[in-house]
Amino acid sequence: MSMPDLEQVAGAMLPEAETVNDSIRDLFLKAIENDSIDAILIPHETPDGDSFAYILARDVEMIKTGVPLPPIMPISGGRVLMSLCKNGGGTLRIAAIMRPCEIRSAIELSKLRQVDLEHLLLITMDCPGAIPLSSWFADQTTARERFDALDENPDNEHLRPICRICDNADITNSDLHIGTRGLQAGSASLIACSEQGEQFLESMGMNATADLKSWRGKTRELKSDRIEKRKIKFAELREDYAGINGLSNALRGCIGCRICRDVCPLCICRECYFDCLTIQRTPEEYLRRADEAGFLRFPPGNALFHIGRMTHMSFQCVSCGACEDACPVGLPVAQLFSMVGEETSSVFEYLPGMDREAEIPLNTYRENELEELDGSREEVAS
Amino acid sequence: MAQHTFAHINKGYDETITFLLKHMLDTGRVEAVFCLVRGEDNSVSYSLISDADQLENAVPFFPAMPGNAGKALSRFTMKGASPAPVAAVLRPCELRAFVEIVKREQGSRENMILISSTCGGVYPLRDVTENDNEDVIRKYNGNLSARTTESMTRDACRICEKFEPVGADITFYIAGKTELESSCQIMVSGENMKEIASAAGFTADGDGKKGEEIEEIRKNRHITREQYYSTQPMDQPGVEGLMEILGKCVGCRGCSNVCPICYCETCFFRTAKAEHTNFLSIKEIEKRGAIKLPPLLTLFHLGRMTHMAHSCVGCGMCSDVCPVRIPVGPLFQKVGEAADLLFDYEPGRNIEELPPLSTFQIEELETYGE
Repeated sequence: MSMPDLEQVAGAMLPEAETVNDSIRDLFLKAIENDSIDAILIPHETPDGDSFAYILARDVEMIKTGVPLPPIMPISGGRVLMSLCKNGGGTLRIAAIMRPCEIRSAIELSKLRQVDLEHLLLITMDCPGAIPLSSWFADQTTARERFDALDENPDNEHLRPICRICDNADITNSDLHIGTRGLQAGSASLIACSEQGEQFLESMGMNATADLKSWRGKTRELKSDRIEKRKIKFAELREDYAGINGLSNALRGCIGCRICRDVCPLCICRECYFDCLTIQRTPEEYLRRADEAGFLRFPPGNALFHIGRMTHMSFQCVSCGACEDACPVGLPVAQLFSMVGEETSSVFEYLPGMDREAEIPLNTYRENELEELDGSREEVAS
Repeated sequence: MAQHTFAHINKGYDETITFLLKHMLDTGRVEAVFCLVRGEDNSVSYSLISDADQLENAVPFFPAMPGNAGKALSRFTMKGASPAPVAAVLRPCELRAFVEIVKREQGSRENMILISSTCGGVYPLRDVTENDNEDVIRKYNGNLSARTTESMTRDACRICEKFEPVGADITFYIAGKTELESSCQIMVSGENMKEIASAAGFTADGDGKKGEEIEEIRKNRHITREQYYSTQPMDQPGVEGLMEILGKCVGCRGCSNVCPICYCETCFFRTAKAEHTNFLSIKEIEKRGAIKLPPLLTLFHLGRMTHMAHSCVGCGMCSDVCPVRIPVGPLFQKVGEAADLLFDYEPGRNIEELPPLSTFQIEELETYGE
């Protein structure tokens, strides 16, 4: 399946409800009743009322209290799907509602054989972005107000930095997409993006006759605006952090907790090289290294860890921002990885998480490929 | 038992520690020193310093914990003892962690000169990186003198009653002291340290002893501790209480990554055995109503708790890095403390004392087995 075409897709209006979250919940309840799906994967408030976690639910009450679009993204849905169907999808027909970046990670994970997409109905929505976890946990009332105000002002300084420059906050490569931009408050259009999506609409007796003109207009507008913002941000980052010294400066505060890696939906190695005893040196060697430069940061090798991770996964980075959001010292890791990843994947004309059929660059790379890049390197050297 | 000697120095504690470290490096008494260093961007990290000039950026008692220093020293001495003396500055909880680590043969105390202080606690990592270093130090010194727990230090620190180091070679008495910028009291343990101190020009007090501030702070911390736990469902949480505390866990494993006691190279919860193989059927899901995903996260915490809580030193690193602010540290401490009481064990108290799991006898605790 190739990418859905913004101009070609068709949608069906969801019945009016007070909020879009309400109409999505109603849709799910009806889908279960209708036997179109068996269970819903949906964010839900945690028992302490303080955060959100994904639940797989069939129970009416649990679905009714689900929150399809929470203000924060404490975990990437890609990781959630990996925990559910890494070892095969099973027989349950599951509808998963997630932000577009989460679905993109699920698609990358399916290419890495970490998520089995069969039996999964992937649903995305127009995403206003997410509030940083740090603001959320500092003051939830304000964070909620800020989140609710996003409909009017999509370029809000209160969003996570990676969301402010997201140019894929809308239709990606899910089976169904819920469009809300440019529509009346509380209205939403269910857009089929795949055969599976079309079948779902059909089984629900919904007709794709909605007028998507104003949605298309808004979507295009936001996209081009964000592409511009992204360029500007990346230019700033390059200025600040270019070269090995710049990068080391950016990563200097790293404490080596590895949380960026462990929340990253694309870092899938069961055992990371940087956790192995291979990196362990003798005290003699550490002292020698300290002698050489006058000092040795401890634990050593934190910059190398990030560079290693970058080499492995950044070209598949879906810019979900989970790493940066979870970093206890607030390093701009998501922005850096997103920038480097975009440069690498563009060389291969690869768009992470978009085309389900496109192969991962590292899987198709040929020795004699990219000679022009080698050439330019020689030129620089001479 | 090593002989303790006290000395008064007419300089601030910051100046004194840097002077002492420099002196030890310059005179070749140590090959390197290990302490906190600040970067240009307000970040603070540990460094192994062998060039005395590099001490310019040293901030040995800076109120931040960018990782438990005990864990860092474990990395340094994992493959064997340091070949030459190294002086390391670490907080009481970090020192306790190092002791627990050495017991587990994950590090070596040999050739390490451990310098610690009575501790006023540290600020949350997120706060430190957002503020100017100088401001942080000024604010901190004010709080240190106040002896109360009304500071913005981490919860784990405000409820810590073990802020006086045990087993340090040199102890700086700073918590609760006034005139922190012009005077400083240190305690040195053993003849070797006494000799180092006098070579550095620190003369011993005839009748030196600890100040009365220790008990006052301990009392205040104790009250704060009781208050803290009275607002948390941690006493006998039961499954429901645990769900309330741990229900928002995202499974990042950050708590175990930064824990000085969690040292398994491969954690069970990262292996294929802990992976979910699809067992779900409509019947199963109807029975449960809903299932939180990723699964097994509460079990992960319980597993970790069983393995290490009895050695938990209360350093609070786990809570500090948790992206969803679960109070992992105080929870583990509470459970660990209860287990340790049974075995009359105190983490970090004595390097010779083996952890309860190493000495447990089959016939022990039969009252619990009934």
